[in-house]
Parts: sequence; C-alpha cells; structure tokens
Amino acid sequence: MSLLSIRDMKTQIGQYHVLHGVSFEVPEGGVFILLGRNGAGKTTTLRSIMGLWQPSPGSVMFQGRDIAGLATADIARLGIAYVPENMGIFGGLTVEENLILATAKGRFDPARLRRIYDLFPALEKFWTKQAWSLSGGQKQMLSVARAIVEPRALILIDEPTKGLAPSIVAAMGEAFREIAQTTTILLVEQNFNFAKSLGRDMAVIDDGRVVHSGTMADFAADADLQGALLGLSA
Amino acid sequence: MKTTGMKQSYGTLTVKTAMLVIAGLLLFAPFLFQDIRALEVAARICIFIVLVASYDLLLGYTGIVSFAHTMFFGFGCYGAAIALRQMGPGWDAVAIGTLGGVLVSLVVATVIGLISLRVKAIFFAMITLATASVVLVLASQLSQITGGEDGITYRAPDIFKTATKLMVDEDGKVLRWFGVRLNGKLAAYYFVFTTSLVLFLILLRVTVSPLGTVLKAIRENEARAEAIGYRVVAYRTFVFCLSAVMASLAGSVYAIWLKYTGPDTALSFSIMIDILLMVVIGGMGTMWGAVIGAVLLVMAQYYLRDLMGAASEAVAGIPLLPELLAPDRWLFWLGIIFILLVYFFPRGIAGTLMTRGMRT
Amino acid sequence: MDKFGEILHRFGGVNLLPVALAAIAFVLIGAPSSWVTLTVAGLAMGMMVFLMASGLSLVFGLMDVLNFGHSAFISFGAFIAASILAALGGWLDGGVILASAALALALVGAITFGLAAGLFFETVIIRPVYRDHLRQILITMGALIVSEQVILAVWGGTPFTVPRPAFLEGAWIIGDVSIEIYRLFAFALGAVVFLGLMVLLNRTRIGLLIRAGVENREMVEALGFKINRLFIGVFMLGSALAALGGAMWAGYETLITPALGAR
Repeated sequence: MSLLSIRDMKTQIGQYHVLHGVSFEVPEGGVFILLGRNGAGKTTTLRSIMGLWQPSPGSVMFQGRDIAGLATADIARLGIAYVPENMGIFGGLTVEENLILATAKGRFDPARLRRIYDLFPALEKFWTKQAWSLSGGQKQMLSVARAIVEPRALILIDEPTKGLAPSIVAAMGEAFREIAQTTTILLVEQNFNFAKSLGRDMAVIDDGRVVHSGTMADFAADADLQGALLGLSA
Repeated sequence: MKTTGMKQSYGTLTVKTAMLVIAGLLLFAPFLFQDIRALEVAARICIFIVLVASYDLLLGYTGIVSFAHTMFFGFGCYGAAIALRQMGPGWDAVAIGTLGGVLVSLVVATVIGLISLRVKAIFFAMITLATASVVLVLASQLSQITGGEDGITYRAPDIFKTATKLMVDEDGKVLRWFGVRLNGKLAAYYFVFTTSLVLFLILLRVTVSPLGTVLKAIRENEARAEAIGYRVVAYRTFVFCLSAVMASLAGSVYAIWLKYTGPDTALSFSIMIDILLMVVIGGMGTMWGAVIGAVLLVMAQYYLRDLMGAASEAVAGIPLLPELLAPDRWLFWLGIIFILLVYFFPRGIAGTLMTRGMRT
Repeated sequence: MDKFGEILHRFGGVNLLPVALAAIAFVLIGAPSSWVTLTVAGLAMGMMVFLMASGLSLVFGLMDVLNFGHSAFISFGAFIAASILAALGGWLDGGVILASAALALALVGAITFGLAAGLFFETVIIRPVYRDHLRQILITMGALIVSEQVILAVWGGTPFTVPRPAFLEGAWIIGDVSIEIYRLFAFALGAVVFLGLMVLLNRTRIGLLIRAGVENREMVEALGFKINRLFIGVFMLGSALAALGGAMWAGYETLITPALGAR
C-alpha cells in the first residue's frame, strides 16, 4: 500500500479551478518527485494535501486514512511536515525558537538535534541568531530542519533549490538523501538535474492534471518525453 | 455581472418604482405634508441622499472605508456658515463659503489620499478617523471662528426668509397654492431639493460611466486592475476627492437650510455612524441603496422614537426591556439590524431586492 | 498607538522613550517638585493607556483584526468595576483588608467580563468575517454602537460616580512633592501587567506561538497548532486587558460617562 494516495483531487481558489483532478501514488520510503512547468499546479497540490487549500471532491488517503477536509493542524499532527516555497520561517524568532516550536512537547530529542547539527552545521553556529539574519541557504536549511525535528512519515518540500548557490544545492541534495532513508519526501522541483539525482518515482503535472507518472530512471532516459512534458531541450 | 441587455427582474422594477415614489414624495413634500416638521424631514432626506450616495461611491463602489466623510460635510457647512456670518446674508457669501469649503475639502482629501490610500484598508480607516477627530476638536476649540460648541447662527439669503413673499394676491398677502404659502421657506426647500437632485444625478452619472466600471474592477481585484495598467492609487484618490467635494457641497446646502451650524449638526461622529448605517442598510454599491437608506433612517430618527416610546410603555414592568425600547435607544436596534445585514444581506435592501428574481 | 504597543513588546529599547521624555520635561519644567508630580501623573496615565491599547495591538498584530468594539470593552470594564465598588460601598470604609477585597472583586469582575465578552466577540461576531477587512470594520462598528446603547440602557446617560477605597485616596507629601496614591497604584498595576505580558511573550511557549503567528499564520498551522484556539485566547486576553484598563480608568476619573471608551 502506498503511503499517500491522491485520487481526483480538484482544488478551486476563489473562482479559479487550479487543479482539475490530480491523482498519483507516493510509495513509502525514498524521494518522490513532482515535476511540471510554472503554474502547472505543483504548489497547489502540496497546499491541498496540507489542507491549506480545501480540495473538493476527491480523496487524499494518508496511511489508509482520508485526510481531505481535515484542518491543517490535524494533518500536521498525523505526521506530515511542510517546507513551503517561501520557506515559512519565523524571522523574528531565533533559530532555536524556530526549531523548538516544531517539537511536540517543547523539548529537543538530543539524538535528533545531533542529527540536525550534523546535516546543517550552520544552524548550530547561528543557534541564537534571529532567523531573518540568516542567508537564503541557511533559511532553507532551517526550514528543512524544522520538518525533521520530530519523527514524520512524510515531508512535503516545495522547490528547495530555488535561488540557491550550486554548492548549497549539493549540500541540500546530500541532506535529502540522508533524510529519505527514514522518511518519505514528496519533492516539488524545477531543477531537473537535481531531481533526477534524487528521485525514485515521479509524476508530472501540467495544467492541473497529472500527465505522466512512473519511475525516475525511465523518465530520465526518455529525452522526447522530457521535451514534450517539461519543455526541456537537449 | 451580466445586467446589460438582460430583462429587468421584478426586484429591480420594485426598486425603481420605489425611487419614483420617493422622488415624487420629495418633489411635492411641501404640498403633501403641511407641517414644519415634515418639511424638515424632507429636506434632511434630500441632503442625506447626496451625502450617503457620495459615501457609497467610496465604500460600495471602491471599497474604501473612510471615517472622514462627516468632516468634509462639516467643511461645507462651516464654509457657508462662516461666510454668511462674516459677510451677511448674500449670494456672494454663499458662493465664497461653498467654494471655500470645497477647496479645503479638496486639499485635505488629496493629502490624505496620496499619503495613505496605498496602505491597507485598516490603516486608511484609522488615519481618516484620526483626522476627523482632530478637525472636530479644532472646530470646538477655535470658538472665535466656529463658535465652538455653541456653533454659529446666521441668516440665509433674503429669498429664503419665511417672511419673503414669492407671489402675492390682490391684497398684497402671500399667495397660497393648494393651501401652501408661496413664501421663502418654500423657496428654500426647493433650493435644497433641486441642488440635491442635481448632485445626486451627477453621482449617478459617474457610477455608470467608464470610471465606475474601473472602480468596480479595482474593488474586485486590486492587483489585477493594477496589472492591467490602471493606476489604482490615482483612481482611489480621485474618487476620494470627488466624494469629499460632493459631501462638502451637501454640507453648504444644509447650512443654508438650517441657518445654524455647530459640531452636532455638521461634524459629530454620530453623523458618520448615521451615514454608515444608511449605506449598509440601503445597500452598498448601488446609488438606489443610498436613497432607500437615507429615507428609512431619517424617517426612523424622527418617527421611530414616537413608536418606541409607545412600545416602551407597553412592556413596562418587564426588566430591561423598557430601557431597551426607550425612545433614545433606537440606535440599539438599528445597530443590531446593521450587524445582521452585514452578515446575511451584505448587499442591503436595494441590492438584495435587485438580485431577487434575477436567477430564477 | 497600537503600533507603539507592539513595538514595545518587541524591543525593550523603546522603554527608554518615556525616560527620555521625562528628562526633556525636567529641563523644560524646571521646578523638581512639580516635575515629579507631573511625571508620576504621566506615567500612571501612560500605564492605563497601555493596558487599554495593548489588547488592541495584540489582537491586531496576531489576527490582523482591527476591533472597533475594543473601546466598548473599556467602557464596560469601567462601569462594571464602578458598579461592584458602589455595591460594596460599605466595605470601602471598613478597613484596608475589606476595601482591598472590594477593589480586587471589582477588578476581577471587570476582567471576567472582558474574558467572557472576548470569547463571545471572537466566536460570534468576528469569526465569520476573518480576512474581510471591510465587513470586519463594519461589524465591529455595529457592535460598538450596540454596546454603547446597552451601557446607556443599563447605567443610564448620567455620569456615574466611582467610589474609591479609602487607602487609595489622598496623596503622599514628601518635602514639597505631592504624589497621588491612586496614580502610584495605577502605575504599579500597569507595570505588573506589562512585566507579565513580557514574560508571557518572551519566556513561554504560548508567547512563542503568538510571536510566530504574527509573522506567519499558515506555518503555525502547518506545524500542528490550531491557530483558532490561539486567536480566541489572545482575543480574550486583549479584551480582559481593555476591561482592566477601563476599570483602572474609572477609579482614576472617579466620574464616568458611557462615551468613556471612545477617547
């Protein structure tokens, strides 16, 4: 059984239909990549899973339970973390406060904290700094760290490499690989090369529908399909 | 909304019929209701229709919440009042006072608009509230010019004096038509009626012009209107100025009619609340709503108290109810009606009526 | 002013502003004795205004709701406290303990009302119109109108005399400096509340949530917190602070009218 199973999810924002029936399956473990052009509906898909937009009708099954229509907070408590496109960190709070807010009981699990320090040494260094003063890459690290400070079943990550320097992108890739050994990641990505190196399974969204799904290996080998679905040349 | 070319719903017809009836009643008010109080009510209705319609241009058509509308009304009132007081009752004083009021309104509105119309609605509301409070305090402090809390009394141009005879019969007495004396009071009422009608028609013309369409576009989706290329701040400032000028003109006319101007009649916050109630109860975003709201509320102010007085006596003995039904508590009930309307009928009476029968 | 309150929470540094103002005033006034009197008066006044405005700024900062009905909470707080004091009039002259009990009851009464009214306001009046500023302004204005009328209906339009506990009457004379005791009391209570708020915001998890919620509501939700409950709590807190401020104000003015909250 897959971890997350989305059936015919339609989302309307105001008077606009953004998703026209999105369906795909995210199996347990590893990194699942959601590809698509700008405006195809990738971010809306993540937000709908998270309950930040109300999807209707259709179903979102998470660990065998329909979570469509639940409040965002309840969805989060079931074990889904969200790393939004704008990173969603609290700039007026320190790095420590940002992270401690994400813990369930207001205390850090020492082992998990050690792991975060190992993955993102910069966070330890700037532990008491206010988050707004961090660089873009460090903010992104903080946002990801916040998602793994407690054990989660699924992490939704929206375009984490946007606007980051290549060296930081590489570090981020390493971190994702490490995280994916224990947690499933649903990753929205525009950077195809980055996505190719990480993903096991994937789906492509275009104009509010899933137009292709399969394994990353097959998709990476099919240049024509890439060109047709993503507009990638070469 | 697709209203053009569509067959008019019976709701719209009802509203338009009501408009004709109201216009007719106001036009013949001096002949239909031959007592002083009724004429006061009719004149107040005329003035408030303009005041409320000009406010609706802001609130309903453009989505701007301003608490300074009474202030502009007050500029008009005090402009005319001070000029009439200083220069004596003449048309030159009326012209200078009115123009002065309009100019002050225009300047203040432009400054407020340019500074604060780009910020969020809430901040704009706060800024207008603060400005209006400052002006209210100024008006009661600068008693040399404004008469302070007591206000100013003055004489209107001679033609509006009650003693003035517009037409005389053979004996030299004032002529009567259908029992109505053709005196200055009548002239004053028709002055109020005509100017109000003209101002209202101008406002009506604005709302059906291309400008009105742009305003609605801005209200519905500011970002998109901006993206299409409309300079939202410029449009908003323009509308704010236009409505300020209209309010100021209405104020001058009211000052001439009342022959008295003070903080209570021209500037007080309760007038602002009245205007808000009228716009929301009548219906935001339609000029007809302004008319209905103004008529209903002015009537309520004058006549509801009597009714409530009777009701209050009827429930005497039950705790608290008599107090809540006391004649002075009419605002309590209007406040509740207001809240319910904002929740359940945000289009107000006119808007709700006009959509009735449109879909089915 | 509401912005000021928010900044006050954020940066302790702004706390120096009154000190700076007082220093300037000292130079301007010259005479030290009247300077002390005026400064204490100003501080007491400032603390009461802080009590009333802090609720408004908390609610506005976190929920993006500008509550025009806020001033009604202030008025209600004032009238309820005054009524309780008047009802317990006998206690006020019966020694410090009884008088303190009466005062405490009056303040608790005002706060309780504030909490209840806040709960009612948040869930019934404001909840349906979140994110719709226009209707929010209109609804809270409507609520303000109705509240003022209720006050008029219950307490009548005539000014209401507020009895004060005897031990808060009068002034201390130190040399040629005279300090009204009630002002000191108002200042002290305001300072306690201020410190309490600072601790709440900076040292507790709730405070952390509030500060995070001011910045990004959605993310607070996505971390698994029900922001609605936080909203209700903060709204109740804000209303209670307003009512408390109103109650203190009533004791300060000693003669109150229904239009009090409008300032």
